[in-house]
Amino acid sequence: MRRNESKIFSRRRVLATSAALAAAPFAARAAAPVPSPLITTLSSYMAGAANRALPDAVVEKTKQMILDTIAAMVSGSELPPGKFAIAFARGYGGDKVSTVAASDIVCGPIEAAMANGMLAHSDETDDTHPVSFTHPGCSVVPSALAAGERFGTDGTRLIRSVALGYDVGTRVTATLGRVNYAVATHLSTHGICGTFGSAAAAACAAGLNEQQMRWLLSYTAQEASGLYAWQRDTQHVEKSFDFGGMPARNGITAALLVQAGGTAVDDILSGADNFLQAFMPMNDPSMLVDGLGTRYEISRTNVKKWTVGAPIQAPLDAIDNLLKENRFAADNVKQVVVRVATDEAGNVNNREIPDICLQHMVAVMLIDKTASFKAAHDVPRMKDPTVLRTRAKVKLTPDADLQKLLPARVAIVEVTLNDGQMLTERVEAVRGTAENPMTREEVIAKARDLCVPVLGAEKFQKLSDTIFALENVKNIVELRPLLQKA
Amino acid sequence: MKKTRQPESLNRRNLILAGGAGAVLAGIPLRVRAAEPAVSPIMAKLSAYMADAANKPLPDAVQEKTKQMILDALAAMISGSELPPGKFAINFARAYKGEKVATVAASDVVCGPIEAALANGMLAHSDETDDTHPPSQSHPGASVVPSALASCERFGADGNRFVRAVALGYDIGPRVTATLGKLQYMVATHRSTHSISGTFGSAAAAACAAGLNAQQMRWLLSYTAQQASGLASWQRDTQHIEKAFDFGGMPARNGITAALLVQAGGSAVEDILSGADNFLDGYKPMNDPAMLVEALGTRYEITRTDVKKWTVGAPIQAPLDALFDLHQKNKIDPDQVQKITVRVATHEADIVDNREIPDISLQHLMAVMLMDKTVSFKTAHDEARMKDAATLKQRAKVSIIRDDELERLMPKRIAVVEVTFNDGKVLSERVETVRGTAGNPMTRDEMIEKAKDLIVPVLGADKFQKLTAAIFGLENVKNVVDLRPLLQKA
Repeated sequence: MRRNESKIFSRRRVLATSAALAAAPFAARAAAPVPSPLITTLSSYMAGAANRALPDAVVEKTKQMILDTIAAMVSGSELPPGKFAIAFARGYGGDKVSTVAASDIVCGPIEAAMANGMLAHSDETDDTHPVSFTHPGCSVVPSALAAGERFGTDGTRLIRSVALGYDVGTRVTATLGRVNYAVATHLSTHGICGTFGSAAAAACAAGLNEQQMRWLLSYTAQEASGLYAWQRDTQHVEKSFDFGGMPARNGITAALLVQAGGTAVDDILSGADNFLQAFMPMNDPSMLVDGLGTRYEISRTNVKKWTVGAPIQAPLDAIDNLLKENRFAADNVKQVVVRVATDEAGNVNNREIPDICLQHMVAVMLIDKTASFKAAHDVPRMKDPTVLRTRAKVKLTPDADLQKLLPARVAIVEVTLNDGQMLTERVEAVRGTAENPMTREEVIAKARDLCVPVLGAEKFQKLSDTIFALENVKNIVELRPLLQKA
Repeated sequence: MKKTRQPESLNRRNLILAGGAGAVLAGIPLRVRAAEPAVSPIMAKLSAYMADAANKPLPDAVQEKTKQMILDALAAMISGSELPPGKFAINFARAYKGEKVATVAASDVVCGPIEAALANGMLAHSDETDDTHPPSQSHPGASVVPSALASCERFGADGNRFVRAVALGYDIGPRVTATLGKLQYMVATHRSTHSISGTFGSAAAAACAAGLNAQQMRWLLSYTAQQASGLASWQRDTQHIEKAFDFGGMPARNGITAALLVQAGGSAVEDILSGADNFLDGYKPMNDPAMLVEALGTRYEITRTDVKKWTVGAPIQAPLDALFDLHQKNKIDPDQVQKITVRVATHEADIVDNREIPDISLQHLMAVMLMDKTVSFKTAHDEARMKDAATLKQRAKVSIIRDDELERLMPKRIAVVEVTFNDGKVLSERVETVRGTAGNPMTRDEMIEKAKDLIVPVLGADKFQKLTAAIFGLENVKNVVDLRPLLQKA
């Protein structure tokens, strides 16, 4: 029951997208759920505290504690940790060193990593790594980018940082036990993986040595957090923090602390109260280092070719394939039968918003011969008569045989043309998954679809060219003008 | 057996930590001190690999794939900028950006509230002079006050609000880890009550300063629960820098971040204490969750918080109290003293018997108290004084007695001190409850006295005087930012 729920939510993003697209104010949209008496008591108490008088004795005691803490702070400023903290804040200060994408903001690396992390998981267009039940890119890349800018690293280092981030973070939650672990412990593999991955990436950018890497892992383990409750977030703002912003912030903070001279526990993977004791992995801890340097986890990461619900991806792939081999217009189509696994069909059958509505997206694909990010989020188009006419021809058939093949999401699409000709396509592995990877050109095409509306075609072209020639980038700060808009 | 023992004993005192701080004070470089502990094969391999990664070429296919993934992530970021979470993130960064709004104490640094909270949190737990709350196994002040301060500055809150924010922080954070199961929870789960309590407490405090409403407070708790982290492995930190982060910096940062996110318009899961995968499912408290809200508004946890009167190892506090009390009641000439015997619980004695650094050496500190009639922060950290001939002469008179009777009374730390004079007269004092604990609280004057000892050497007497006056007159402070000049030095 619980497992089923989680599966459904992770496959698509149902409520999140619908709320976001409808552009209703957050507060109004989130109203419905009934809070428990426990949290009602707690939160109303907390909310009232600002305007509620305290008993005199408590006021007095509080002042004393404030003074006492200030005293600890002031005197501590001359001890090594205090000196370190001040040096850290000074070095960090209002320095404008890191880029927030798609804005004109340049700020400190921690906020930049956090903001970019949230940006990267604003939707569900970011990558996934099924073996670890995570989204590595949305925190690892922001962390690597912000740290790289902070330390003026070159393009090659950026690449290595990112790859390291994928290699370390995903191994941690693969070892913990991926989705089964999340279900059993209620903890978030996404938060944990991203935290370790972002730390590794930023540390690589910072050029930490071996001992510093161990210290880094201790700071990182201290920060490792997250609950599987992200599934219940309806607005996707918290989720973008849980998946992208928080892990990126955690990771880069750990790296900056160590780079600034912070020391820590030397081996957080063994000894008393170590990370493994607290998090109790389902698998042998040796998996943490299994295949390092030979099996690059970034290679096992899935890209979402179509920015639509997961069960719709294989059907769109099938039509894309048919359109490449045959010339037919939407008006020539008499009927389209789409077969997907039974459970999958239930999730996308005539849904109310475009990107999780199979019939609508198939109609769009037939008309546009592609399914853009814009189309996938275009709610008014669901009422367009042309689309509705084509949509009426689309039939979704739940298929028990395909159900048996899950988690492979196989789709069969049969297109019958007006002249009686029948075209059939079976897609075994969704395009963009590790088993059926997209080409560089396909990845660029996807990115173009996502970026050009925001940055314009010229900037996008330069950005894309620069990324693929990162070896020639001497300082990744050079990416800034390509990432920002005025 | 061993497992339950170790955290408990480490926790009672500040042994290794204090040892670490001492080492640092002695001017030994950090790098050298932390060298050469045994590292597990897994850790050795992992850290070596990570360290090498910066300079090792990747296979071509990986290189290519990585570029694609970078582009893919950037594309997600850029396109996401027009969706609500992306807009929110940009607004958040814009509001936050390099603004100099929050004070870092004892410096001239003014920075963003998150870094300020982090830095002040680490400052507050640089030593072990900060407060403790035994029923929750936490140090609430080290994170709650920095978070409240930074948030109040950010939102221009007044002195009253500051006070309420701090009290709320103490009421929320400690209730969370009291419910989890305090020390026993930490031992059983290897998780750190200190950072979990601090994270919730700091969030509540910052949120109070920000004036969040009840729904926003629920959202706050969801962001907070997502950030709740920390391992009991802080006990193994020898340099106290990580520990300062674990106890002060990290929880303060977590808490204020949650508050700033919600204040900036962030929404979240509506009830993180019930429903699927809630905080209680994830953290499995040992006690009834009803404890989270038990006696809210009547039992203020800040009043159950212990203050450290003497900035020395815990087992030495009651003996210093005893000798201090004897000084108050009698005129004692150190040269007329023939011997001093100190009875403490057996295990406590082991921890502080003739130790190598001043703040955990019972004999040394009793000699100092005998001579100075007090023990200052400075003295407790003055290694040179340990070789001072006059002090050594007095120290020779001090003997420690391991007392099994007192051991049975633990965790109460009782001390019995007997001073025998050359003329045969004997003065005896038994301290049942350490001064500064909730059972034997310090007066406001004693608190000021302690603060003076800690602050004047850094900020000077004049500033200290004004700061104290401002704190005790917080009702008259219109904007907490007014505290800044009193907290900083040029």
